[in-house]
This record gives sequence, structure tokens and C-alpha cells, in this order.
Amino acid sequence: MLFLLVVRSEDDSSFIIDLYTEHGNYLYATAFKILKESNQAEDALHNAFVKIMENIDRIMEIPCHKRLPYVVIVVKNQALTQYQKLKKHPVVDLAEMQYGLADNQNIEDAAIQTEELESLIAHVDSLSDELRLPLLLRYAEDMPHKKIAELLDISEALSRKRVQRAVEALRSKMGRKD
Amino acid sequence: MSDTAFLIEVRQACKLVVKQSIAQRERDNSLSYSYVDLPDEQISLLAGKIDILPSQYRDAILLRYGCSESYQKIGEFLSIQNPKGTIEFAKNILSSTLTAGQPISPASLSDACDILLNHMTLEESTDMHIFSDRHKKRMHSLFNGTQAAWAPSKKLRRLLLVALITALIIGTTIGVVAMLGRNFFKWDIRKDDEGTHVEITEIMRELTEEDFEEMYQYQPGWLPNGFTYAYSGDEQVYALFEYYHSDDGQRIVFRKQLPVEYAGFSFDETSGSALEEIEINGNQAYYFERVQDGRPTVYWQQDGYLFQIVSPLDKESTIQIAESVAYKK
Repeated sequence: MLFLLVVRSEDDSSFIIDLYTEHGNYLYATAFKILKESNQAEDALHNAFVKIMENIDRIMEIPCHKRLPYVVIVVKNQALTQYQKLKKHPVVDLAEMQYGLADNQNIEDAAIQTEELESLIAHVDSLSDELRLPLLLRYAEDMPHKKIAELLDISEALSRKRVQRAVEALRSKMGRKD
Repeated sequence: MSDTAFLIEVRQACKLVVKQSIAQRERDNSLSYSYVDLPDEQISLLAGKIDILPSQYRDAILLRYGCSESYQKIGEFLSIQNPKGTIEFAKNILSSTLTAGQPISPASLSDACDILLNHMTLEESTDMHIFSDRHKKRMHSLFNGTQAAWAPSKKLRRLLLVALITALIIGTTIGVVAMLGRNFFKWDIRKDDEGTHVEITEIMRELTEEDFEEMYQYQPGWLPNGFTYAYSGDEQVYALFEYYHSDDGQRIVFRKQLPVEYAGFSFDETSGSALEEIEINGNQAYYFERVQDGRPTVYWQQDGYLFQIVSPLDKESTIQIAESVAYKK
């Protein structure tokens, strides 16, 4: 750990210490909100500060008023990364799983499924922007309709309607019945 | 196929579309020359939309346009593989809603991020967390190290780490070898009515020719007055004999032996005499007196060898000779 201690001047170190003293509790709360476990949140906070100190030269170049938000982003993302690692089952991309071959799956079935998925991807790509964007935000990013509506300047009801229409269009193109 | 199963497929496809789109944008090095500068009244609207974006996109945009951070650092801090592609994808979402798909200028994005960063209010937690002692210690040692006047690069740190691990492995190996060198065989000496039996029970390292050669170098450092080296003889595959004679014809025999498996032996000259367990320079040793002539004999192991001294002297002198045996260069 000694190798990680890289801050060069007293100004730098006082900035870091002040930051921790003044906002450590808030930064901890940011991590805790994601990890829901005290030791893990403390670890995330510590690891984030190690990263911050590794990049202290760069961070000192950022205007003062932006440094704290910057640090918040680093802590939050450190907690998110830790959260992913902590999950009992590692994050598996469902789409990648689909391309992989499950143990109990024969090659023929897998080929058909892969082909179908590729076809579905092509159909998603060919949707109009009006339908495609709400669909991607809803299904790929798990955004609630309320947020999608705010982002796209449409009503919540219209967001739902567009996603629904997109799914219907895909179903139709794939020859699937309702 | 059920509706749920189809929706799962749609979800998989959407995730892949986004992933492919980001990867494609990561590779795309083309520049746009038709940026749209948003009017002032729309900058705060843009800021609001950046704020709504999924966390990963929002943070990437803020770091890039609010803090002028490099793609590499953004990737590192946010643990994302394609930071540039992620940012471009997010910008595409923003432009599709604000500028009908025309790329928004970096200046507008920067202004919007400034608004967000400037107004980023920290909701102070109502509960004051009491940090654990472990955390306090870790942070304390982290901050105490901040006064260091030098800053090793990541590469140097890796090298130092590798060197440290290598040193540990070498140190451990040397330690183990040294321990084995000191006790690299186990032996058993027992006495019964037929005599005294010495048996090598376990050899803990492979013997080499060098081990045999090295045996020559072990010599007594002390001999009683009048005794000098006479000759070596009776060399066996695994044992050497050296003889030290006195002016009046008395003889001390120094036998050196490798602890090979077939070196177990018995002798009957101890029949009826006591076999005493002693120590020679901290090593396990046995002392006895031969039946036929009462000569003191010491057997001991040292540096992985098995040594024996038979002398015409008294017990103390014989033990003293044994204790003086050392490796001489």
C-alpha cells in the first residue's frame, strides 16, 4: 500500500484530508446507498480515495468548485463496481449468454436461437428513431417511463405507447403471435 | 412463445444493439463539422437532460465536458470499456431530442455540465456514520503517506510489487533449504542385546556429488597436544575416514558419512555399554564406549552429514574434538 501513496505536496494532502473530513460522511452515504453494507461502503470510500490520490495531479487541475462533484462521481462508481463484483452471480450479459451454448442445449437449437436473435437485433436497428430510442432506454437501460418521457420531451403515456408499438412491430416482423 | 419469453428476447436484443452501437462509436474517428451551438435558454434544458441520463452516461459526460477528463481516466473511474463510445452514444440520445439529431457542440455540452456541477448540491446525510476502527486506521495510513516526496509511476509500482513477491519467494526458498540443510535427514539409533543400530529413516533432500566433495572440508578445529593429521583412507561410496596420529602411535578416527538410505548399520561394540544421548553444537548426538577397548565414541549429525569420532582419550576430550569439527574453506 505504501506504493500507492503518491501525493506530492502539503497543499495536495491538505485538500484530500479536508475533503475527507468535511464530506467523508456524505461520500460514505453515497457508497452505502449502493452497497447497503457498512464495511463494503467504507472499503469503497477507501478505494476511491486511493484512486483519487493516484490521480491527484490531474484532480488539482480541475477548478475548485468542480472537484467535489468529481470525487462524488469517483466514489459512486467505485461503489457500483464493487457492487457488481459482490453479486453472487457475476453480471452475465443475457445477450452473450444467448450466443453461448448452454450445457443442456444442442447445437441445432442454439444455431436457431442465435439466428433469431440476430434477426431481432436487425429489426430493432431498423425501427424508426421515434420507436427505437424509447425501446432502448426502457429495455437496455431499464429507465422508468417517467424519465424517458422527461428526456425525450413526451408524456409518460406516450412513452409507454411507443415502447408498446415498438414491441408489436418486432413481434410482427419476427412472425410471432400475440 | 409466451409474451414474457419474447420480451426477454427483446431485452437481450436491445442490450446488444446498445453494446454494438457503443463499440462502433468507440472505433469511429470521424469528426463532425456541423455542430449545433445551443442558445443560452436551451443550455439549462440540456443540463436537465444530461441529469436524467442513466448514471453511466451522465457521469461520463460530466467528466468529459465538465472536467475535461481524458477518455482513459473516464474508463478507469467508471469501469467502462468504451468510454468514448459511451459518451458518443449518450450525446446521440441528447441530440435526437434537442437538435433533431444534429451533433451538439462541445461548448454547449461544457456549459451545460458547468451548470450541473455548479449546482450539484450535496444532500448531507441525516445519520452521522461512525467509521469503524479498521477504516480509520486505513485512512490514517493513507493520509500519513501523503507527505511522500516522490511519486512512483504505476509501472514502477508494478515492478516493485513483482520484486517484492520475487524476494519473498526467494527468501522463503532459502529459508526452507537452510532448514533442510541443517536437518536434511532423520535417523534412529537404538540399542538392544545384539548391539547398537543406526538407521537413516528419512532423507529430506536429494544428495549430489558435491555433497560428497564437501565432506572433505569438515575437520576438527581442535586436537589434543601431540595429535596431527596422518592420512585419509578407506574411502567408500558414501563415507570417508580420516586418521589423526599422536607421536606415541595413538590414533583418532574421524568418520564422515552421507545419510544415504543404505547407510544404516549396526555395531556390536556397544553391547553392554550405555548409549547416552547428548548434543554436539546443538545437534542430536550419541556417546558410548566400545566394549572391547572402552574407547569413547561420539556419533552426531551436523549440516546434513553423519559424523563419528573414536578416540583413545577420555569422554570430555572426545566430545571436545567433536564440537570443534567445522567446515573449513
